[in-house]
Amino acid sequence: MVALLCSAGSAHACTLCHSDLAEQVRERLFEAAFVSHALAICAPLPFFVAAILWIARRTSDVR
Amino acid sequence: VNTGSPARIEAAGLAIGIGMGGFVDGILFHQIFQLHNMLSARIPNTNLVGAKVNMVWDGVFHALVWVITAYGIWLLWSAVKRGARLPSHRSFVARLVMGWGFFNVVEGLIDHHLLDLHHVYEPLGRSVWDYAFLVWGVAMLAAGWALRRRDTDLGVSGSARDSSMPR
Repeated sequence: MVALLCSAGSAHACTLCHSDLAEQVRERLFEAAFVSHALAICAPLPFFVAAILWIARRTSDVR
Repeated sequence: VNTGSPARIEAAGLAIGIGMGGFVDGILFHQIFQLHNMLSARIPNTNLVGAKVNMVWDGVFHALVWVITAYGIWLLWSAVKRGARLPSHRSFVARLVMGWGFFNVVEGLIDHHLLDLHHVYEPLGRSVWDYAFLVWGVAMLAAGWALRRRDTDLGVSGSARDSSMPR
């Protein structure tokens, strides 16, 4: 599958390809701010998880 | 006595609601309407490379909401397996709506206002649409809460009603 993706002519723009475009995308993606971007995208997650766990751990008589 | 199982079902509804809210945002606003992308305020999506980088981060976002949705399904399954009765339609929809509203409020506050990752209509930057997104979330939270309360007020929520539901 990977070989197919990397060799197919129509897949020149895929993220894992070796085309110029793909290399530009990877370069922009893994720039210095990569970790900052990843953390920012994950920022709401703790709030979601906390709310779900808080409700899940309540006993049935608490409504 | 299945202490915790109704709470698990409540948490499952919230988790699935959060996940579905995330998918609506991602599928409708990011992909179909292309109003913004995950990092479109930081990485402009107006050229091919920028659009493709944003597409990768959109994928990360979708992966996260997929995990939350899957966790909700697991909570629901495990509660039923422990002997909990399935809630009424209204009761479960109330939790889904609350989850969706909670997603909009948290995501809107953090991503649109605090971190400035993107805005609802990116060409305008932070605009009235970002506040409308928050109001929409609060309205859904209130609607879900009211729906849930209505079930309680009628005395049909929880085990009293659920015990009459077919399994």
